[in-house]
Amino acid sequence: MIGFLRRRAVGLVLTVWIVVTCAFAMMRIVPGGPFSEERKLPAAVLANVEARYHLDWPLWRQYLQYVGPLNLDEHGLFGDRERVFGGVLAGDLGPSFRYRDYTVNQILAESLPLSLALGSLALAWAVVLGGAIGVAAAACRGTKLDLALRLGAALGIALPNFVVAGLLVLVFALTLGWSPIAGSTSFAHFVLPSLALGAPVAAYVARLVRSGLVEALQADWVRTAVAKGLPYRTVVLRHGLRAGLLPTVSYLGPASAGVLTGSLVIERIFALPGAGSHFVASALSRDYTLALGVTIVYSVLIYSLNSLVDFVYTRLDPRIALEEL
Amino acid sequence: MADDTRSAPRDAAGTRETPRAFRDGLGGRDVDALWIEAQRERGAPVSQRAWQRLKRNRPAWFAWCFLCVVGIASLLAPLLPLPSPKTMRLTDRRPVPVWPWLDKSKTEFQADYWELNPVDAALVQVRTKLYGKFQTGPWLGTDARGRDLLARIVWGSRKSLFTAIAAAAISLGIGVTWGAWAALKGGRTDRWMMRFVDVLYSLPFVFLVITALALVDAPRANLGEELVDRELVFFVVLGAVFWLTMARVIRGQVLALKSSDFVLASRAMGASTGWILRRHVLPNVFGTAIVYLTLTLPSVMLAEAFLSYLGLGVQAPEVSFGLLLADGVDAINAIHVEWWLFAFPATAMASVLLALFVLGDGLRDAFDVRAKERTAP
Amino acid sequence: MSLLDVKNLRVRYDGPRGPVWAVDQLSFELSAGELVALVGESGSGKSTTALALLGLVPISGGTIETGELWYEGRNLLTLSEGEWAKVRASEIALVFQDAASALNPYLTIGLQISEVLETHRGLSRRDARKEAARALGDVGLPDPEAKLANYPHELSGGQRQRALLAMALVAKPRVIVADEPTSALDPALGLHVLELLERERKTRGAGVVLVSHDLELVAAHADRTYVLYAGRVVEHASARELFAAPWHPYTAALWRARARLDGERPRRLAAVPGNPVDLANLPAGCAFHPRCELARERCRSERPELSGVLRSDARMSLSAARRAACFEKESLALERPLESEP
Repeated sequence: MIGFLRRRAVGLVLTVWIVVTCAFAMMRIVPGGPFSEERKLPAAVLANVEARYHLDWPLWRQYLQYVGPLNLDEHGLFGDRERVFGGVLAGDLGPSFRYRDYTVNQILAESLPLSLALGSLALAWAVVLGGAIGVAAAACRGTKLDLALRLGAALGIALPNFVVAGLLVLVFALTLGWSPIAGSTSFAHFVLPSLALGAPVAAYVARLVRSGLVEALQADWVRTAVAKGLPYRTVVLRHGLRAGLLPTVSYLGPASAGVLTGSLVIERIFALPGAGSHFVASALSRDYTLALGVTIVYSVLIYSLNSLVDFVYTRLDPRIALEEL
Repeated sequence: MADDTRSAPRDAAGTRETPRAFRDGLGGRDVDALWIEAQRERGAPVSQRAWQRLKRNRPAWFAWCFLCVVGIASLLAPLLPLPSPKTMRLTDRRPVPVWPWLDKSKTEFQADYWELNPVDAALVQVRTKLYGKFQTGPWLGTDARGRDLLARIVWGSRKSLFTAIAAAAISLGIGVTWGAWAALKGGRTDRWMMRFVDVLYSLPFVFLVITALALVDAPRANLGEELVDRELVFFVVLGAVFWLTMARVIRGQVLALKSSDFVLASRAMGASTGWILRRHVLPNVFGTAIVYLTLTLPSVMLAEAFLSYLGLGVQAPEVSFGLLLADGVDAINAIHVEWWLFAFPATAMASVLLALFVLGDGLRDAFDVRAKERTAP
Repeated sequence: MSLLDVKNLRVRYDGPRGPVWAVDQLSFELSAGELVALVGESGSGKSTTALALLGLVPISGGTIETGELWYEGRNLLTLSEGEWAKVRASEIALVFQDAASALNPYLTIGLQISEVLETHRGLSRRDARKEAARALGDVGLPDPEAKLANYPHELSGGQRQRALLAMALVAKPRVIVADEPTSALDPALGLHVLELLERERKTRGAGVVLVSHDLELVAAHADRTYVLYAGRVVEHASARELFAAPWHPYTAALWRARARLDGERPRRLAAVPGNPVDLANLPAGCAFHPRCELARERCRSERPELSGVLRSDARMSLSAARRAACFEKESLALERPLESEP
């Protein structure tokens, strides 16, 4: 257990380091900075602004400054100079270039809860709806209902989530008028976005649950369970379901990543001020620190969720030892 | 199980009857029955057998035929008597779809395209010779700028399919090379190469992709178009995202082959490495590669749509499914709903993706590739 | 009075190339305390027969077309699924061939054994676990209490097979069907499993149906043997008679093809000559004739019935109940010396 946690902690640090380095390198290799495209600033003002954010420093120094193994800053951009560690290592993601009066931490503190709420809601929909559809399809295997459910699930996978969003808006907001179109002031505002965000995941879950159940129920040990004269309920619930749901459990890691990244588009469509929409805006406007900050936070989230899923998996499948992961 | 309310009569003793569908699929297959099945397919080579099995799988066969038709139509798009997907008609715009037999408007074809490659330009020349000024009417309606939707869908499918195939081919190249090399080298090289793949798996790739593409786009002014070929970056970036699963699967396959009885047996009989590679390794890896290539295509197309929606994918005036769908979603708002702009591109893309999924599944069954999509790191 | 009486069993599988009859017109009976062996190659229908005795043919993808399965005055083939559940494991139990796949990898051995008792004997969980530990001890597993908490992958292959056996025996069924219970085990362990089955029938009078391709094993333990080919019984005799002097050329070929553990090594590993039968494409006449060295014109067109021989020879007096389905059985029976006769 402790070994597992230690390995995962090392992996997390490694992942974040790679993300920071790659993203940092990509952003700075291409010429042009966040201020070069704005209305033409006088050269003196531009130099002043760039000096304020240390864009005039050599790249290696900016990098060390950002990651913060040594606090190189004498003037307190990333904190006072008594601290040895600054920057990302100290959890400080720096100031935003676009929103001049805010730090990235402040922006994330405001927008991330909304994204997480949206994502959790979407994941909940996906698991509940997808699971129910998958079980129903498996139980009616070979019937017309099964075919219809599988076709629906396949469509859910084949359509991008913003198309599902458009469809939902068309039906429930514009035609039926049951739902508000955009905004984030009440729970009702979150229903359509989370449904659209969860739709592809739900479709995938349905597929996995169905095929998992069908395959698990064909296992030799299920036949053994029938041969033992166990009641049908016990055969399915005790002997079939666990093996049948394992593929779904291991998909929940990638699923949460899919929900988190999918919200980039969904937040934009429904005008939700979440971290995803900030990311797109910041990447387009070359707001280095904000884009990097969102990327780092999402990396940590995705990595942790993957580790959690792996941990749960070992609890469900006795053949996989935690020590091996 | 809460869902299984259908037809579950209770017998006298109160034990629940097995619902028929579940009962039919319960438990392993009879050994005798499996033996009988195995008898039928002895002899034929792997790919031929796979082809036979694919033909027997009717949905997969139908999907294959459908994709062939779509592929040919989009390949020959410049030859079809369609209006140019770029020509705008702002004055006499007829937005609503018109049935072909009710279409009275006779508009004239204008060879007005974006910068086409030489082959496409030649095809357009041929088209002009073939049909002259004739062009089809707005059968599927026109978009907000009066561009013909049918033409845009055909040209869009062309772009999307080409992008998907190019990116998937890149991912295939990287994945097969990486996976096969790791498996053949083995030992420490293998461990490190696969650990690298594991690390990449947990990266939020979409973020890096968006960052990369945003960078290529943003500094247009100071960068100059000729410095970075945007299209190439797009393919490479997409291909680089999707090679991970391929590498894992191929590595597993090659490892299994390396230690399989028939490879050991032919080695023991003195077969050369080249012969083993040709005779045993390549045919088996070929199946897996085809299956995962087919399954990668829809993912790439979805990614293209996602990025195009954010304005980072295919750039106007060219069209792709993603751009069309983005237009379609924008056409649904509180002020007015132009349903055809949404419905037709969505149907087109969904049917192509659906066909790819069905074909991929069919190929997987046909080649009998059973690989874990995600192994614990 | 027989314990189990199978009459005219016919099982169909519907494959992509049309229907196939894995078991055809099969009849046999089993008395209390008796060990009957079903012998044949792969695809001979012996595993299907084992499944049919537990009512498991439908869930394995087959259909029972005709047949009767009499047990204690009831034809089990008319039972509903719910009634079948009460018969399985408590009256008739099945020991599967491959313990690695027949045991549920996600559940402990203890749970998998005790759930049989909870279902059929109505025991509490604690009592069932006690009984399960006793059953594990009975099949010779060391430290059975601790084994209850183990998962199947934590046991060795031999231990798994014995756990599977314990699972089948724990509810004291009167009929035990063992489908190749020893084929995955080394000879010593296989012998041990057979001894356990022997003990069941001697102490409790349980009837055992042993499905096997291991002729040495069958010769050593079975009371009577049915030889199956292409889903039909081609020969039926007491085990001793059968291998001393086979009446059917297939039995003779099987016996010649066995891998001998004793005596001199054969020059090469022998097998029954020719291709195994293709059930989807059965030859006319006797199904074995394409592989038979004694085949005549008649064998190609007419199917021989299962019948005895005229007792024209004193040496055949033992063979009152003996049957074979071959036109040449008389000559075969006469030309082979009966080695085991005094």
